[in-house]
Amino acid sequence: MQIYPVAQVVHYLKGVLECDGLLRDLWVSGEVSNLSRSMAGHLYFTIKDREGQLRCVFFSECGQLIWLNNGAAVVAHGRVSLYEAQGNLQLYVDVVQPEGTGVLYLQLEELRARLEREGLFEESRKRRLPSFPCRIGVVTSPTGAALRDIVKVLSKRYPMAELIVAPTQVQGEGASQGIAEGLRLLNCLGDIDVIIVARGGGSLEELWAFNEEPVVRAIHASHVPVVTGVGHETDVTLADLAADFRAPTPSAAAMAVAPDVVDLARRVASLRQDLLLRTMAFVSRKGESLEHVVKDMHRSLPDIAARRQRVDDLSRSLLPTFQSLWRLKSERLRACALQLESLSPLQTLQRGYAIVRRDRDGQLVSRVEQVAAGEAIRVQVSDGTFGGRVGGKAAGRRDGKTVVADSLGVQGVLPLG
Amino acid sequence: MAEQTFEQCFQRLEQIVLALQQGGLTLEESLALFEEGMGLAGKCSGHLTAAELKVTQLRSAFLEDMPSGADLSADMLP
Repeated sequence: MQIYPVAQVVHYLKGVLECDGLLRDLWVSGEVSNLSRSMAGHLYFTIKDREGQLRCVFFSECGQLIWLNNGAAVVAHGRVSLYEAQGNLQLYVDVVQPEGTGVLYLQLEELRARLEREGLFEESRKRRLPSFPCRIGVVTSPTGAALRDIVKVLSKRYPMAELIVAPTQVQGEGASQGIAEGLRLLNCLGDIDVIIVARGGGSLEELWAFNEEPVVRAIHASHVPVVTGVGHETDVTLADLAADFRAPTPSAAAMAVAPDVVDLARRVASLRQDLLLRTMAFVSRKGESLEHVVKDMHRSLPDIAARRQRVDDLSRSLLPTFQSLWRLKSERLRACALQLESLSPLQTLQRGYAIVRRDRDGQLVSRVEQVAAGEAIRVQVSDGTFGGRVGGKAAGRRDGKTVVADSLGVQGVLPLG
Repeated sequence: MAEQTFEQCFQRLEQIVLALQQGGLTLEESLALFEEGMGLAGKCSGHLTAAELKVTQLRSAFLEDMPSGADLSADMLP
């Protein structure tokens, strides 16, 4: 006999339950009782019928399943496991729908819960759409109204784009694989800016492909941002939840991927206007500051006109000044010449005096002893020179009377020179 | 050089207007930007007016045997 600690037993039981394939993916129907909501918003309740009951827990974010009440007939989906701390066997519920909900819808809710847990619908992974897409991929039926609407809207709104259509059937057998393949193909092209996945309005069954796992996963896997436009306003598919942007209709999807050329033209025009005005303002500002500079420059320059006038004045008065100066100078020159003339010894010669020089050295003879008898002399008078010889010689007298050499023999007359 | 896309022209134009708004440019720089900007505005307008939506259709092996995978009918094109 072996005795086990209780923790080991409940742990073993938990393992057994979780290994069971049926218990991992279980649909249960019954009536809700003992419903309670925790502070965190989780729901604890029991599903029961006349012969049995099962404890349930629904971990939810606040506000989910507000319609759920005691006594409600429901269908719930989840996995069975054991809460070890209390030894409770319970159903960990992920989907609860009212009794009578179609099987299709129950499956949808189950898939939604599963993909949501995987994070395929995370808001944080949604990408921004490009502002000016050049190549827009479209996954839709080549003959459907959806493509017609998209072409119509983009022709008018944003004709600069190129539409690359990945044609596929959008309902019936194989539609979800076709849509997923279209998404994959457009991603392979590598130069698509945004992808529209679209289908016109239809019944829940007709839109069903957009609720299927291959489509949701293909949208999630797309490297290119995806915009969905499926059905009408009220239809929200799992594809919509996985898309980067959910538009209510195909036309709305076309509007969501591209701006309107009319708006763009207006913006371009306003930028152009802005450019023009700013440049004009800039140039005129520059012009004004240039004017200032020129004015400053003028102010800082000397008054050229005044100076030019002064030069004119000066040059006008220069000639008469010079002339009068010249007259004055020349008169004084003449006066000097006259005075000089009056002092010249030549004047004395006019009066009969003569200048005597020794012939040998040209020295002036002013005393008797300067000459010897027979010595050659030269005598200068007022109009020329003549030579001669000293005859007899008398001694100088103290009385101051001039001794004139006697016996001058005139030998010739020389011109004054 | 390949022709500039509308987006490239438009973004450059916005940059130019911003640069002029911020100022601090020489007269030469400002006039060069002005000239470039006017050219870009013209190109943008050209893009906006001359364009006609092009629609091409991919073919895929998956669709080959599908009767609904036919080419776009002419009346669907703008």
